[in-house]
Amino acid sequence: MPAALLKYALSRKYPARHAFTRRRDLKKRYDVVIIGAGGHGVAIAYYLSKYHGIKDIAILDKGYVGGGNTARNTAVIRSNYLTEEGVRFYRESVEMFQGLSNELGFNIMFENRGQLTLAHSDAAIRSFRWRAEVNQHMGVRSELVDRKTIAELVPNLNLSEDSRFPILAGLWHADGGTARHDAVAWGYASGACERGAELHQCTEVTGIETKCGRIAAVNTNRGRIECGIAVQAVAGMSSIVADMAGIRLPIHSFPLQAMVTQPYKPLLGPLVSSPHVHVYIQQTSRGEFVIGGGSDPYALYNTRSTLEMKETLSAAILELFPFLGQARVLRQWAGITDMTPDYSPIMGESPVEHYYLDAGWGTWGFKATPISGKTMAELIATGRTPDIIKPFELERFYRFQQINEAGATAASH
Amino acid sequence: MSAYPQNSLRRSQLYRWHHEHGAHFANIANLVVVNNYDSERGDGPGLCDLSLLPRTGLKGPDAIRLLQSTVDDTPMEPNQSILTSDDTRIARLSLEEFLLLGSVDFETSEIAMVDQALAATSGMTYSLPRADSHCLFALKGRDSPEVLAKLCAIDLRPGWFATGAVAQTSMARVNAIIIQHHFAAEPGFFLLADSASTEYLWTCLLDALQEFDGGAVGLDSFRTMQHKE
Amino acid sequence: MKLLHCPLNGPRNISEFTYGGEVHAMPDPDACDSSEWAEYVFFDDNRAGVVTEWWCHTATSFWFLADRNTVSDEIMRTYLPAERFSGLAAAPPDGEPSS
Repeated sequence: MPAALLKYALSRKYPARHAFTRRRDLKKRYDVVIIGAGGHGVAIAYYLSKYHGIKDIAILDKGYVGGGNTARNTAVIRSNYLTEEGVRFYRESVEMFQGLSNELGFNIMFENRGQLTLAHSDAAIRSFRWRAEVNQHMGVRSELVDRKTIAELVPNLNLSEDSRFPILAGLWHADGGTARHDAVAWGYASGACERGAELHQCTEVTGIETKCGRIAAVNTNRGRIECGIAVQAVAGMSSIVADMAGIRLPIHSFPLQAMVTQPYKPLLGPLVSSPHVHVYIQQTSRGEFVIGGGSDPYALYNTRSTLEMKETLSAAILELFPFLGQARVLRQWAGITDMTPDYSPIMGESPVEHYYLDAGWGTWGFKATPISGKTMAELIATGRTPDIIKPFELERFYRFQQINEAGATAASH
Repeated sequence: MSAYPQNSLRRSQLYRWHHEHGAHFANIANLVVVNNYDSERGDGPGLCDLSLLPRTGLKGPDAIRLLQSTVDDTPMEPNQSILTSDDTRIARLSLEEFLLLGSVDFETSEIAMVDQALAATSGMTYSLPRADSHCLFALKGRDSPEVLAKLCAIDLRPGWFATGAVAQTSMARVNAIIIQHHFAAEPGFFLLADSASTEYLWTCLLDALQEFDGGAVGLDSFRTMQHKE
Repeated sequence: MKLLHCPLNGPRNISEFTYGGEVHAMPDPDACDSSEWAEYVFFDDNRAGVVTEWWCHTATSFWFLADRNTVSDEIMRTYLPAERFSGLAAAPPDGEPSS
């Protein structure tokens, strides 16, 4: 190490920056306890502390910050959903992502690459046309594109008419993009901690106490914490944590597997997805191809990888990009997706007073990080559910008013 | 004069493939079937399109009774099949479901008898014909278990898969029914799958056959086998 | 590939099966209120541990029950629905798919 660098490191003039709370004991009570220090949890803390003046916050995580599904998702950002409620919500999230590096003073490496979803059937074209209409009406850039345009957008895509499922058309979503998922969590977490929120990692919630139908305290492996308000943001564990508060949810948890190849020079700009062959792909800024598909076929709380999913993903992606036949897979992993019946999240009030839900994030959680943080913070601070997340209340299932995003979600993410 | 499937009301979904690959057609029982191909391999395992072969099926609590009153023998257990004296292959797909395949000479009368009984019955038995819903292939030759090992996870070798055994499983990722059958002295299988997958499965099987010097064969190949005996 | 033992067809690759979800007791549709019905239709226990589930062997459309650990992915036992619902033979078991 050059001496100058060593001198800099040891200088008191440039103290090491501690991004997060340095380990300290838990207080006996906090105004707000956030369960889960993933992207959503730390974003809620960030908006509470920065925009609502609420700083007496504990963010608890049984592991480390951004170590759950925030680390495991494939960082697809898009807003080309089907329902007005869904499009309005994700559109604002995408807009927030665009300015997020400035907002946080932390580079989240957002890249507006565009996202292309492929149609291999007439039925898919009809649904794309529908989505494009809804999107444009809501101010989101989506359009139905033909094979010629697809060839221009993604020159190395296999557009052969002899493949098993030839590509007929595409839904081009110019607003789509990606960002560095860890950076999003780190940026929000350090912003919240700078403003006084406490991040307590390795702090596992073991029980939730209610009193007269109202949240009273949270028990952890490090002791009991009283709280005025608690919110759960524990994607992959939503049913288990909610059960501690006596709440049953319309969620079924499935693993979602993905894999990544060795790095290559830049070959693929847009994010490409095919709901029909159940695969999606993007090339990261490091050059790796990240390849994912649909959730596993049966429920499981286990992030094991399976050979059959590797085969399925490989077979599917070779249909689209035959040049990947020589690529080597570096890693395969899984996250647990909390699937809801309508493929929309569950946000807002719960049957327990002052206990809020940020749950049901299935395969669409990362892209909603900024808007979820902002709206959940507003709900906690004001006690009023913002209009934009009102449709996603748990209550909707009792009214049989689902927000059906199944068609715009499957294997697109 | 040779027969043309285009002139027949009932034809296999593969008739264009057969035509393009030098098939010689013949009329059997008012059906146009492939007799042989220009360049038919003799030694390796053979794959024959039997999609027009008479067949029927039935299901329901009373299916076993209807069958017993119509044919001389029925399989005792699910996933077993028997050969009647009329050369009809009767497979038991579950406790209450049966599938009947005619003999490869297209001369079975039991299929028609069961269909008549089905039409007349007032019992709890339902028709499941599988003539239009499924394609039907024969795969024959000593190597056929190895051919299918490339497409299917079940061990179909003689020591593991008995004569007349039935497997309902996934073959080349589509649902299929596999029935062990001896075509004269040659071991092999009846293969049934959803008709929507006919061309796909046919192509997959031909691809698997390449390694074993096998290929498509017509109905003539069954006759020469019998002569050899 | 993981194997699942089908009571009709024997051990098969788990990819040959369709997952049918948790076994739930159906409330009486004539007597229950709409929130009970909503919970029956949409909600799940989603437990981490041993659960009883519906599974279907796709190639034969054969439905059966499995006791499975949703954490270790270990299949403890598979069996015919009649074993669980035998006492209810007079009425339809609980409205779940049965064959």
